[in-house]
Amino acid sequence: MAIKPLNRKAEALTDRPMEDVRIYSFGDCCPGFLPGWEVGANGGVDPCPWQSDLPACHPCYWTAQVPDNTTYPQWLDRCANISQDWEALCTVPD
Amino acid sequence: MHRSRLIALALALVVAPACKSKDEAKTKEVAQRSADLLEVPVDLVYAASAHIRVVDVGVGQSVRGIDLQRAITSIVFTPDGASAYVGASDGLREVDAQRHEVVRQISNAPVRQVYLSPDGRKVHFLEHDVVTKEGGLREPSPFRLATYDRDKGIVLHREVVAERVLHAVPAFEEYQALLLLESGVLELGPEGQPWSEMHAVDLAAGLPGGPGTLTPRPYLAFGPDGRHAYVPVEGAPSRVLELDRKTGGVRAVSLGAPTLLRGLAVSPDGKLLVVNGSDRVFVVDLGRGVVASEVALDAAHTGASIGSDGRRAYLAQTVDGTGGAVTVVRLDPLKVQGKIHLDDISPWVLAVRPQPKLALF
Repeated sequence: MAIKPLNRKAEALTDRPMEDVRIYSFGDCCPGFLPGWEVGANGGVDPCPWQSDLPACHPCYWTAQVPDNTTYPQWLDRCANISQDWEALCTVPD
Repeated sequence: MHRSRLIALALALVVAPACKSKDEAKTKEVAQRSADLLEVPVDLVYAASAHIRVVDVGVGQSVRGIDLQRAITSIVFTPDGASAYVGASDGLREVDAQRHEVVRQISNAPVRQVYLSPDGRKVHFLEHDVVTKEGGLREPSPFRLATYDRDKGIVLHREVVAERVLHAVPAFEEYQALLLLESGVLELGPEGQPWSEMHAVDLAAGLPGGPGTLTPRPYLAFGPDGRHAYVPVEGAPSRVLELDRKTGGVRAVSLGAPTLLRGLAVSPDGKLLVVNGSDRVFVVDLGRGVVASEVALDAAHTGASIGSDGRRAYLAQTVDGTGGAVTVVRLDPLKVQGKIHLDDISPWVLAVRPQPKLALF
């Protein structure tokens, strides 16, 4: 259902181009991976330099990607070289 | 005098000083280059991920390795550079920093942070356990602050601090204890005050927070005598809080804009603070409390550490091609000098081994 503007101010707003809604970042961290949508507070297109930030992002809001270091302190044990070992990161150790 | 001679004389008078100043500038540049060539860094950097690589900056490569296969969280050196204490996901280790060998496993619970007391005699480390219950539910215990006596070689005591702690620094003489929780709460308290009764520090003190939240990041640094603690806080703008642990005073140093914060280091003379802004480095003049200079980096970095002579800062470039790197930043004048590639680790923790004092003849 379309919403109709009821006054001049509302009309002026509808004439403006729609801005992208960048919902996938909170400060410097992203709760979900949607490539191209992660935008930081300062407008940078990649606030989640995710490979380099994997060990740095705890405890901010990255629960979908980065295990909670407090509950899983060993989760980076097998990733001495993130560039080559990052696929092993997807599995939280038992 | 003939008119053309007058013109020639005038030209000579104008051009001669210009040439002289140009020559002087060139001479200075050549002298600076020569000085740069002669100034070979002697720092040894421990760069760590789940292993440690000993990076000889003068040689420009990793010269030794200590393989642990355990996520490393924190490294501190003793002031004489003889030993290092390494916190990892399976406990605290003591490393002989001359031979670069692990000499002792001090504890077995995951370690989050390691601190050396200002007098260098005790090692404090923050640890906790994770209990796996029936059905696979993992339950972390509260964090404990343990104190290891270097002279006696024993853990003196352990005290429970709180749930989900990022940093807990005990009081030392008249300097207050400091507590940083995962929830973003930052607290100070005098000696003898229970951890649960510390008083909160206003993260917006001295600098309004602007829209959004203020998030303290777990990269604390301390001045040479331990009196001042520095806490990076992301926000709009991001800032570094200088806490005076003696008076409880707070001073905010604005970084001018929202920026990621990934490391802090104080120069040995306590005059400069290096701030790792992920893809840029800020140098704060602590006397004036302002950013004196900044330089861009070509990738995201984590951590920061400064050499004993205070001339260079080192930052970990966690991802560099198929490995990682240590980036070398000269502080005066501020300039990225280069990076040392590490082919087999992606470092996220750095520490520079202090150099013993050398006698100059």
